[in-house]
Amino acid sequence: MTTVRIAGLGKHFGSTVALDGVDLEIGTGLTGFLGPNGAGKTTLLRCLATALAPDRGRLDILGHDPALATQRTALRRRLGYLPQNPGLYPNFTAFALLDYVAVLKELTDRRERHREVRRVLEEVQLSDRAGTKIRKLSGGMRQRVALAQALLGNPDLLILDEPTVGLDPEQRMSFRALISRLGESRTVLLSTHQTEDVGALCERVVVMRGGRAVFDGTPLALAGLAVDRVWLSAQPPSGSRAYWRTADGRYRTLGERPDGGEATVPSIEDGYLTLLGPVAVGAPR
Amino acid sequence: MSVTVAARTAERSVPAPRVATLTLAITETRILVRSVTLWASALVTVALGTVWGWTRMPTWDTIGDNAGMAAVVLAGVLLVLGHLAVSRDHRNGVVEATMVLPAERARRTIALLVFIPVAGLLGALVLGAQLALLLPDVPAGTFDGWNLAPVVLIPPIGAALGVAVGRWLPAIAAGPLTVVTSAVAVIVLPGVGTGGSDVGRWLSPVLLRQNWAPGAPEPTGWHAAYLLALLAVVVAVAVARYRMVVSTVVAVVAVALGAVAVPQQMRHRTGSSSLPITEAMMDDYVGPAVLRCEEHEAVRYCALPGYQRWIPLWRDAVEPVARAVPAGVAGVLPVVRQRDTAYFAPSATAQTPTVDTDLVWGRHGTWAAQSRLDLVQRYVRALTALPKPTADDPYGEQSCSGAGQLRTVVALWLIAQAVPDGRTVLDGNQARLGRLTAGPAEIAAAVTLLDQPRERVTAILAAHWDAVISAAPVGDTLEPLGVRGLAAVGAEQATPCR
Repeated sequence: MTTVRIAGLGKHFGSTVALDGVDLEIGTGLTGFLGPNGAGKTTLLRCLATALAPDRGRLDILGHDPALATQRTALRRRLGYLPQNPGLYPNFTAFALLDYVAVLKELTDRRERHREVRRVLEEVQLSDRAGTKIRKLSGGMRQRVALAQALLGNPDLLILDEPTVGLDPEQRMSFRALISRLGESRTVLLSTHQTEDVGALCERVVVMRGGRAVFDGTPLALAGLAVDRVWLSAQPPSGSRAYWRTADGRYRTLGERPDGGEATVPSIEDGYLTLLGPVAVGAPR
Repeated sequence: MSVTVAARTAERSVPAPRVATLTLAITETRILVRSVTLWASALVTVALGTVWGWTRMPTWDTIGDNAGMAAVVLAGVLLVLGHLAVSRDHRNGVVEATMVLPAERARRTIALLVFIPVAGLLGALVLGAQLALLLPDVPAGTFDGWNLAPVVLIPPIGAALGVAVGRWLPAIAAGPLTVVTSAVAVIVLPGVGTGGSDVGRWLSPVLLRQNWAPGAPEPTGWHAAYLLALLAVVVAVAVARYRMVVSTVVAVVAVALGAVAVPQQMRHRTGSSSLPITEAMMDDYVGPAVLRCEEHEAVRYCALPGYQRWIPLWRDAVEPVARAVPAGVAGVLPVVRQRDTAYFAPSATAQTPTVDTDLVWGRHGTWAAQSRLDLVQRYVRALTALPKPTADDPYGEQSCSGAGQLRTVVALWLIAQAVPDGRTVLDGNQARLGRLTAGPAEIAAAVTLLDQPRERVTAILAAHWDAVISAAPVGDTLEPLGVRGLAAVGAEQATPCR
């Protein structure tokens, strides 16, 4: 079922083109957005989250047109959004903050609202920190509180921009479990630089560059772009910048086969780097 | 999948906008009342209102003034808290997360107007606390709700102003800067006038009431209407961004109300203390129709309405003097009459000797003792016919010497025997006889009399009362009481009292 339709979406900031005619149809499940800095991921997610109005194009999200004020409000009732730099009120406790956000999400029944707050705290494993002031929480805990506020109200569409920033490996594991569970029954849009997260979670991945969607497919398909492009060799390749020394002392190269190179299984990251070419590995265009 | 999404959407009902706004208002109230700053400022407000009137017996006039001025402090803090609350969605990087929530800024602003009734309740609570702290002393004077209205209207204006400023100027410095600007306005406004109309005084939120004198300011319902109009204008500014038509209508109506209310209040009282006082004015404010008189032990006490509860305090001061005066020889004893001595000069023409007592009385300790001593001295001066104020010198500021005069010694003795620590008053040269000045010899003679039984002194005074109330020298009148050798006014002592 298609829940998000994006048609010819464009957005510019001054002379900078952030989105340049994006067309996508997204359904229930987890969709990951990858791309280098400035590719337009965050701008796209902000438009979808109704935080930003596009200059052109059309959006149909959960059957609502966010360009219309009444439909925008209706959409916001079904939306959970974790921005790239989520702010939190440092003098609120975790519970008080989430309770306040729940009120802003129109959860009017106090008992139900508190139950919902306790539920999301449980989801992000912060029940034991409910009474702690935000300023006393670690960076990872704050990120989880920010995620919890997005989960309030059990939204149909969850937009998460860089949600794993600041999480330690254990927390990331928990986060993945939570997100994959959420993605079973709703649309989750996930923007990240962590290709492992996309590989582990998403059934679909969109790669953006220069304000456009340059790849739209499964993580496996993205990795497949690098088939016969990833090599292991005893000597460092000459002329390639996309290689590194692995733990067993061999060199992993992306690109042309080096002397004595053996083909190896490509990762999503390899596919991503192959797709974006020199841009992704820091070479001049 | 689609079934799951549809089911979840259906199970969530959308609340009515009023319910959602009310829920948000309750939440904001809860956040506000948990503010330590709020309760600290409420305590400071109670403390200021109480301390400013702590030394005086409470009156409704002074309570209104002090509580009103103290409420300005509470209003300032509410302004900052209101500003912080409404600009919360601009701070700590939450702009983006909050702007995509269903409760938009319009609703958040309107919900925060709940601070207005909360501030009013807090003002009333603070006033109640101030009254409770004054117990068991019950305020004197007449209760006037309009005089107390600013206490519950000024804090809401502060809160509303905070919300209005925060919605238009969310920068964190804007709140404190508005407080400073408002404080300057409150201080400067009373001095602003055009053509002597003192209009600035009436635009000030607090009118210091002075009810018992002509021309003195007295807040009425019109002043409360002006404050309500001010509140409405501020609310209109706060929601103008979202409800432009309604805001404009409210602002226009409020400005019209204020334009009517201020001149009406000014017409009620001019606010000027420099009016020429006519006999008719005197009657209006301190005439027989106004005063409530009682007679105790041949002394008549006349109090302004609501001040009768002070008559026992006056009696404690006056009766020891009246008892020390020989019965029948002093003629009609002076009347103790209450009036605002800041507005009325002491009477120089009254037929019956009259002693003025003010609208202020010390509440306890040295303040109460000083009030008692002041009244005793005034009463003794009237009783012993000490030089009265003249038209040229209504307040008796031009002194003259009473050295060697019988009345000086008697007056000092009357004062000292009427107060609990009379000898200390004499030793410390604290007794004041108006224009008449006394020297160490007269004070020593009065101390000598203080050691004598009062009946003996009274008997001597009865025999020489005519000399007492004249400028006669002591001579040998008091020799039976041990006072001798008191020199008459010498040539070197200028300006002897007649």
